Amino acid sequence: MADAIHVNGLVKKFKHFTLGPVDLALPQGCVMGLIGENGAGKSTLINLLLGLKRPDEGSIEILGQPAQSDSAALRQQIGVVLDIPGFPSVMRAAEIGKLLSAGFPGWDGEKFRSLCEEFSLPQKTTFGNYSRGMKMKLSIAAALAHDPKLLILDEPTGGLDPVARDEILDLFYNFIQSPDRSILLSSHILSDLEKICDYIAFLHEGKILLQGEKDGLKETYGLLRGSRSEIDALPEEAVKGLRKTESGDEALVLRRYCPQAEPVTLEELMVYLLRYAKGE
Amino acid sequence: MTIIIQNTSPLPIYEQITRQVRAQILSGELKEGEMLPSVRALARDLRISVITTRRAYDELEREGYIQTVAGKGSFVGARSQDLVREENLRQIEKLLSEALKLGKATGLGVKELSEMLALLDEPEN
Amino acid sequence: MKKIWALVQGDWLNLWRSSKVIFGMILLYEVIYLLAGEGWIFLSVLSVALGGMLSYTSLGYDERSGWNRFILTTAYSRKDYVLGKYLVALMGTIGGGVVLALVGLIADLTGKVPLESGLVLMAGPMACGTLISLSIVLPLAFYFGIEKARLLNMLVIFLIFAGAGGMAGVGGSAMEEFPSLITGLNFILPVVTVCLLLLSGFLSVRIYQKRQF
Repeated sequence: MADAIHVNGLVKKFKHFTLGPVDLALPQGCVMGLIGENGAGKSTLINLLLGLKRPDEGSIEILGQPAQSDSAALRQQIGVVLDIPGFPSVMRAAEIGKLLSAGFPGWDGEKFRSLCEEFSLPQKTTFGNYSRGMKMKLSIAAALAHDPKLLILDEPTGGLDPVARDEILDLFYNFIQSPDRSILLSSHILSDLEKICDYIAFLHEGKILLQGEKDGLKETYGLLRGSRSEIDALPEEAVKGLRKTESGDEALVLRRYCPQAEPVTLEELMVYLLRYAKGE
Repeated sequence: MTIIIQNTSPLPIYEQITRQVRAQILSGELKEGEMLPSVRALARDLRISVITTRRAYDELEREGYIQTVAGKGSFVGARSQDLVREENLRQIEKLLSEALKLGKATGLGVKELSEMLALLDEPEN
Repeated sequence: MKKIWALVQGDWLNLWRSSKVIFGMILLYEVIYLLAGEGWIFLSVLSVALGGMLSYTSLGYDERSGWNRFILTTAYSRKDYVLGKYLVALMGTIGGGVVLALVGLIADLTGKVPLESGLVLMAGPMACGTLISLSIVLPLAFYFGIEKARLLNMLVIFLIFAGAGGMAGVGGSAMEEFPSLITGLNFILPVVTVCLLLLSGFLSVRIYQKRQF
């Protein structure tokens, strides 16, 4: 079974920033979270996956086809939520639905309508007057309505309150009940990714810092809190991140050396690897 | 099937699942032939990754407690309750042999050890 | 083709809701002309240029909303998008021309301005002029984008009006001096316009297919 997304040696150069070389693989039927700080290259990577930008080097395959192909059949299979929703601001939900229905052979108008209802999206209000959260919900409804095999989402939960994020999470879980469907999403809200993701790719300054099964990462790393002397006593290779305070130290450690370490969340992992990193 | 996951537990999530499934098989809560939720449905209900649930099911299948039929689902295997019982008996034997050995080294025979066992049981009565 | 038509319908809905000002202007100018008479003819002829400019306006809206980027992730092709805009340009320009012709007819019927002033006849050449200008302007817009080139915007709008007005001027004076020229113009001009438009369309499609976002 071909990977949902397969990236090999991807490089994209800009004036002040280079993305890559990046290798990435999302097996079919899985969910991958793309994390990293602002400017790490997440949106650029997603733009490349969507064919909005062309790579300087390397190859990208989506559902077994090259990403560059302007094939309607491929686009039909990918549901997209961009960082900027991109719908005409003077149109209402139903009109946007009509506009998109001609754009996707597999468009399910009934599904779109029912999703809009589920999201309580006002029928009479024009898109420009939607709140940030509503815009996101409409984008997600549109992405799901044409029954894609792959969802690619750039910050889909940004601007949503916790209740809405919970609703969206359920939607994603329902989406992947089918083993031939996959999701790639980038997000700052790591608590969401924490739950649903099977794989995590950690992007930093255009390169992949970490990539692998989310569970694997959580089994590899742990958090240890202790006195200065206790933490100092740890072997050099064990400590990947260190935060020193007057009241004790916190270290990101490799469980291999410190099996007693506590579980670490993705957020802590990211902050410790970036902000409190200990040099290699 | 009720599974409770504790995020703060040092046990990896997949292991929490396998332990609870085994316990439920032993207690009879999960009966022979009963169908388990699919790996994806379980992942959705527990809000965890599919890879975790799959890993738990794979291990349970490897140990013989459940069987997966392609296209249908996963079922509690025949004799699963016996399997759990057997495994527990094995563990008990192991622990008892260790206690015996230690007892002998300390000069305690079977009689003394039995008395200790009875005493240990009392507070729970 | 059905896809392009859906896009075009969307564009007109968008334009109708967002650019009521422009439609209002067209109506206003025509009314002024009809009421005030010949001296205001230059206002009336603007309808053609304004109509044609709507395609450019539409591009601007798409850019600002992000639709021009999002649409590339749908099964609409880049070609569909570009050709849709050209269809809007045609519809807008011809629409403006029809308005002009109608107004000329009304003016004649109500005895305000005799038909000989050639207003009706002006509509054709003016439409061609506008379309020729758009043939130059649209590829530039697809290449550079609209937001980025404010100065270009000014130049563009000037060009569109100049194209329309130029034709009106040339057509008008030529008709007075060389009546026979009209027939020649009536043949050559549309042909040239169509050719340029096709070339421009082809170029724009290429440009948009290569462009990165």
